[in-house]
Amino acid sequence: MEAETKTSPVTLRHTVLLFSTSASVLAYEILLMRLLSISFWTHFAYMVISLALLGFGASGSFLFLLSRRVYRNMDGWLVILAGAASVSFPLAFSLAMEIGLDPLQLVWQKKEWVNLFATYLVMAVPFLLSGGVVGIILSAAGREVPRLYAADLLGAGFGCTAVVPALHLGPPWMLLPLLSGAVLAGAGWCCGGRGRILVLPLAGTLILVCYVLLPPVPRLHHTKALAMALTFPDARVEARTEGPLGLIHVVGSSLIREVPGLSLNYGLDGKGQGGVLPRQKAIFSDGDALSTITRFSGDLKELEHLDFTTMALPYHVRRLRKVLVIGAGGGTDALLALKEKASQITALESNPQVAELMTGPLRDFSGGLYSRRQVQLLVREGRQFLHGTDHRFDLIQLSLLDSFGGSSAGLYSAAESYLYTTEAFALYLSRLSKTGILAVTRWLKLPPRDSLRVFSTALSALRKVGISQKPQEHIVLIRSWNTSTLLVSRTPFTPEEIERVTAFSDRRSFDVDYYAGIKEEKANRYDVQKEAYSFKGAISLAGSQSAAFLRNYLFDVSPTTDDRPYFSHFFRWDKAPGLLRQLRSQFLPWMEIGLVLTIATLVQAVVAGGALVLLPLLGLRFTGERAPGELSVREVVGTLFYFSAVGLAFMFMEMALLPKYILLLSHPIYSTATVLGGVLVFAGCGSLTVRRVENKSLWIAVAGVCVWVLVQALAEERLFGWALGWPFGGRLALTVAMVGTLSFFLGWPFPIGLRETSSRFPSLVPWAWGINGCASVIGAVLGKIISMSVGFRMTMVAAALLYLFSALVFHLCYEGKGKGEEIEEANKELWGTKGRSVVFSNDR
Amino acid sequence: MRNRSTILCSLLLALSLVLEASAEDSAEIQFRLLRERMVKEQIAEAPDYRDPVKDPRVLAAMRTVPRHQFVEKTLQSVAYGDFPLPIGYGQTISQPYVVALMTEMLQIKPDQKVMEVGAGSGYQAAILSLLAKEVYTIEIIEALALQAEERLRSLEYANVRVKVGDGYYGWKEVAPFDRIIVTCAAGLVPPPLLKQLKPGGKMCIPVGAAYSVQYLTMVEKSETGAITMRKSIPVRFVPLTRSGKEE
Repeated sequence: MEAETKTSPVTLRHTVLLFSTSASVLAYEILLMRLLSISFWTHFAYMVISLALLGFGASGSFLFLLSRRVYRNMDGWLVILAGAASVSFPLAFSLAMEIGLDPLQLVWQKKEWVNLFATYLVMAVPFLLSGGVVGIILSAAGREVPRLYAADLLGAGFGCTAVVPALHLGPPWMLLPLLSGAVLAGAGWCCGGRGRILVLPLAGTLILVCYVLLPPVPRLHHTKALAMALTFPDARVEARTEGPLGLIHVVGSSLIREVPGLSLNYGLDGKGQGGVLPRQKAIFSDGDALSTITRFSGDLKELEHLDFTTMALPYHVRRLRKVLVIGAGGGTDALLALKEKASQITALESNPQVAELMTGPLRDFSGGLYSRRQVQLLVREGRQFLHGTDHRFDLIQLSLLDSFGGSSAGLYSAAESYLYTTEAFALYLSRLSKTGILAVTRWLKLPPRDSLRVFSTALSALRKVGISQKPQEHIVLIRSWNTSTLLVSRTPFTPEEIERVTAFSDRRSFDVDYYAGIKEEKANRYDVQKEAYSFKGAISLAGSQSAAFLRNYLFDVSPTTDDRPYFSHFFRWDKAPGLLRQLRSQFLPWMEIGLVLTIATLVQAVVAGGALVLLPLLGLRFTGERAPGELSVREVVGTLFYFSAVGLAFMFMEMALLPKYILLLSHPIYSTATVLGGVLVFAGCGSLTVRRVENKSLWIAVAGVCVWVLVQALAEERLFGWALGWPFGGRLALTVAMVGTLSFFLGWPFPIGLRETSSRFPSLVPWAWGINGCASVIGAVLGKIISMSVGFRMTMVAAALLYLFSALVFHLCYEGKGKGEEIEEANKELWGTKGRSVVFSNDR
Repeated sequence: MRNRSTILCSLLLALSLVLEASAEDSAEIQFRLLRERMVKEQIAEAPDYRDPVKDPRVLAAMRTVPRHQFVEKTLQSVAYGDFPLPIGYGQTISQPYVVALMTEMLQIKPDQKVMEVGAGSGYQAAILSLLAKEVYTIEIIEALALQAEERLRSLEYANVRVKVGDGYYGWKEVAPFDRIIVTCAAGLVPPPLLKQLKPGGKMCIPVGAAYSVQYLTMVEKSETGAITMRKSIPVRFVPLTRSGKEE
């Protein structure tokens, strides 16, 4: 121990700085995601942050090139970098807003590419500086790497777990100074001398100046739904709430009118208030349209327009008394149920902020909808509620949970939804009364996608609950000009009920796309499609040629599952060239923006990350004056492969776990806090144990990962099904237990590798840190694409294989004993009794 | 001496006026050529991924109306490009092809009454005025409506009337209409507009969320009052209103 202390300049105070910096930068990443999601869109925010995270990789490369200079005055550098990082947290975002990037103009305006690049650069600065702090300490740690790496991970875990409850305290931009303060406090505690006296007050002053002159407040992109609504002449923000789930605005204007798929016949016969709609307000979450609230005085005649939507169909088919609305929002479905005289309406809303608004400031406007005798509003997520209840419902209504604009632009293609999977539909069916109906309404797209995927998923769910004989007789599909509604029942629809369906549709000029036995002349009569795509698609899916249709259709409309819950991801790589050939410039509307941005992120990350990894090699000498540890090509390539594989595998695992546990934890933000926090904290704990294990224990870690992946794959459906009905605390505990077990092993490979690198080729330590940073960014994006394409299980299998590969590389490149000790001795000679653990390969 | 300088000055002035006039003429000739090229390359013989517009009356109107007069001076040089252009207040003048296509889809007859929702610069109304008997256009942004009215008057499109108002409610006083064209994105087909459409009438409307993909949609009202619709190409229009007001 004494010998180790002598060879490492890193002390407990550095551990504190490492902890506070890691905690702050992880919290910063989450706050940045919130800020950019408000300004732009989630997927665009994801792209910008992913690229900015390459700043970590860049810090490794810079450190590698400047290492001799840096380690001459390590504490001085640390205090400067920490001070600069603390200022950069608010300033980078302010400057990014000043740049004024308009992503929608990228196609037309060349200057927007310059703006995009400038935004990347600016946003990368906080990560570059924080990465520099972390990299310097880790690189100087020598054989203390596992302890320091544990502090790094524990800090990161603490940061991302603490930031979510902190979002209750105020808007994200007001939390940034807390992060800056944490880094400054860490630097103040860690580093003494004149640097501290000069740098820390200066940094504090600059942060204050930034808040006065350039406050880091997000500016809404002018095409966001909220920005557009506010341009209506009489628009005003009437309520506003903030929380971890988003920034909610309620806007009132006489020009807000939203009745999805309203029949073109509404008001034509002189009824229906002459075609005039009741006044509405709109609810926006992070600037995107979420829901509308309709003014209601208690007179059911005011709600006549709702009878002219496809959502009203189930009430015309059967008498439905007990209704469950999933995603109640502004209350349209509950109002419809009220209008149709349902006796018991259970409305589920997963966002407590929306529920509070509806029962608070908007209560009078909405006619006290959720306070009515028949209506019960619960702040619950649909599947969790249904798992925990024995109630049976006559109607489960699942309507339009995505905004129209976002859905048609494909913004949700990369978003997980566990409400539209085979397992979810099977659950809904199991909670229906004997003659109950599941009604699913989606926005209509051309060529049809959502409606056909709902159709195929419903068929799959019917089979899952044991209705495998003619399941198609249990399904009805209709559409208006922009919505489609699918009815699924546990009992087949009778001829009389089918007649009611056609009568309802004819009166409203809605097209019937499917019921068992439908003839072509009955379809495609009002919203006329060139080739009756919707009808033909449904007929094909219901018939014997279903598999061939799914194989050949332009889009992927196969049933979604909990393992691949990307309902809005329809894009097929194999059909892309054909689409492009046929549609040329009109191809764009069919592309899913979520997917396009994810791929764009990957391409940019690979190019930039690759450059950052390869750049230091230019400065590397393979032979010459670098005694005592000469580097061979095998060692350099081995380091590259090992740390790339470990970085990719870690992120693959994280990218599969994060969305997978949304199912248990209800919302991505809770999953992010729990899973990410759990992974980092338990990996940190695992890393601590590395101090006491030998290198060959790497195989134990890899075996542990493989066994965990196998158990999760085999047991997850039963385990999740069992746990979904538990209270939140129980689900949280299960998540922590599952994630923690795996993460304990995930915490081994990186410090084992870094410890060995530090002993054998210490000059490569900063480079290894950089490689890991770049691979992590690429791994996060690639992991997402793999999950979307083949599911979470396969992503985890890919991660396990990468860990196996890394163990093999380690075995091949780090074999032989004693060399590490020799080098350490040489280091001591080189640096004296207070010697460093780092020997520099380049002579800068 | 003084006389000589006066004569010289007068000569210079006359020369500059002549030069200016001929420059104006040559600019107009240039714009006419650009218009011809626009109609040929973007509309009549459109690229193979577009359906060409064939109606000779529509093509003639597109050749006639000076599109450059409907945009700001700084944008006149690109007025005939194959793209929309900003006209202020967050609004745009539509891409020439879309203007021509929507006009052709309406199949306007010379004796018909047409209503446009979303006057914008007045360009679409000018095209319609050459094809229909009467054109009524509504614009919610007062400044744009006034500009369009002035522009249409100065260019002598006499059969166009402009109104400031919310297009959702149409123009009840002069309804019904043979044809209705909506030139801004609509999240729903406004019931009052359908009511103001004559039996046998047609309405062309881009249906969809603003700044997202919308479909050019043709709504038809049969003689019995039954409504049918057909979606055409995907387009992007600006939303119903934008007044430039900030939060």
